[in-house]
Amino acid sequence: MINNRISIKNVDFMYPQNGGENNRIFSNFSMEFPKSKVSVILGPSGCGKTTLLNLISGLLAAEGGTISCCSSSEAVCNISVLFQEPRLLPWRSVRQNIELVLNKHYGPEKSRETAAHYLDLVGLADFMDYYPQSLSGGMRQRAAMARAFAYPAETILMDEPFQALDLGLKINLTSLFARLWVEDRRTSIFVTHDINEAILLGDEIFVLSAGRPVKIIEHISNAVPHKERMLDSPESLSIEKKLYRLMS
Amino acid sequence: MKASTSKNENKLISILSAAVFLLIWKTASLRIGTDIILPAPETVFLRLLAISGKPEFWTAVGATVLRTVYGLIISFALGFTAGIACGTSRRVDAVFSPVISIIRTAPVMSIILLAMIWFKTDIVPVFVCILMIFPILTANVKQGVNGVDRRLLELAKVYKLSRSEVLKEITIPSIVPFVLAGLRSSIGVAWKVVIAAEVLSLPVRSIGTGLQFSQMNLETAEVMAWTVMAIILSWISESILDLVIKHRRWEAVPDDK
Repeated sequence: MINNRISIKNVDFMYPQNGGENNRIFSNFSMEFPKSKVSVILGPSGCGKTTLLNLISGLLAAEGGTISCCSSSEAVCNISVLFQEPRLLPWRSVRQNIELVLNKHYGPEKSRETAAHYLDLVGLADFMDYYPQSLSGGMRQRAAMARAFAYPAETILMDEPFQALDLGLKINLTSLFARLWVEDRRTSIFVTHDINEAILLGDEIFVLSAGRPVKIIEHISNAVPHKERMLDSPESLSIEKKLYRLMS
Repeated sequence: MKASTSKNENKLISILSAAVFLLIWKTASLRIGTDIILPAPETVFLRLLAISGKPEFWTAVGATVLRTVYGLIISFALGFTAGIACGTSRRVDAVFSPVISIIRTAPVMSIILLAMIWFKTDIVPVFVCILMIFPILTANVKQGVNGVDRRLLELAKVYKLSRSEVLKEITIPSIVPFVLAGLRSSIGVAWKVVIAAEVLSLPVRSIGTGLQFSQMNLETAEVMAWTVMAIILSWISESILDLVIKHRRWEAVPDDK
């Protein structure tokens, strides 16, 4: 049995403006995400992946059911989110953007050090005092990744963060994520519709159905350690074949 | 290199345009042949030099500058507060909208005449300036508040920023471009309105009073000299604001997807 960290139980949800029970996205939906692993939620565009992430992060409220994100001893848990876009404040430097979310937890001095440390890890040590608009799209997303990891969150949620990047940057950021994740192995949920990303990053891959209400149609575990994962290895090819069949 | 050449070309075109304007003015004044109707540009310039040698001229200019500055500062404070309140609460907006709409559409002359009944002559231009400018700034600030990037508010919610942090770090910086745009379009209006109110209310020291007395004495060159001074003041204030806008360290560019 997996040591549960995030558990979703009997959740109901539909967007009020869409109306009609036929458009109910989640009905009595339950799933569990294991602790200290990267869980990938894979599914076609528009299937409800981002909605699920928004329910977990608290940006949306479920109509019914429970979502528990942390151990019972903690009243409030911290979650960090890496969105599809970097969402950096344009009027703050890259470092100040990170300090802003850290200040409450660490105080000014440690926030400054922590921000600098993570910016160094993502290769932006020389660009900390730059404003976001002076950086490329890939650099901004790296800064957002540094913010997500620097934040003292037990769980990191990622909503197709590499979707808008070109292939080279996507590969670069995927491996950067894997490198950062290995440092403290925080529970992570990664939403994507990219099968290769799912294979490279996911320890547990959950495939969602295209129809409504959403259902989990497959759960695949990938036991190969992150560092050894290759897209052309027999294990990866076998998962890929299975995922292609499910997604097509 | 190309950009600076094009900038120089544009400067040259502007200088040429001003020269053509002066030429047309000079030609027209020669054709008309009387200074009471249209004095020549150099006559106006000489008259400006002559009146600017008197201390009363500068006390009048100073008084008008002060009234405009007071009017802008009070309008800014009121417009900023009302704009934030209307932008964040639909109920407050419902209360203020009709009032602001009435003030916006009321004729300037009506406001000036009423202000002359209610206030001392020194206060009239400031009051009229406030009533003219505050609705513009309120509308701009409200537009800024409504336009705050929803995605940044989501970010604030996820990272648990407090309400005061959201206001300080997201809402206020988001509306700065709208406030600056509002101020940019208000400054010119403020000078015009203050001087118009001064012309009618005749405070002891003011550009408007200078204009009115010159007109009563059929000193057309002096009317135009005061006008040139008002244009210079408006140009200086707009240039200062443009410098502030230009030297902002960031632009609120939309986040790339």
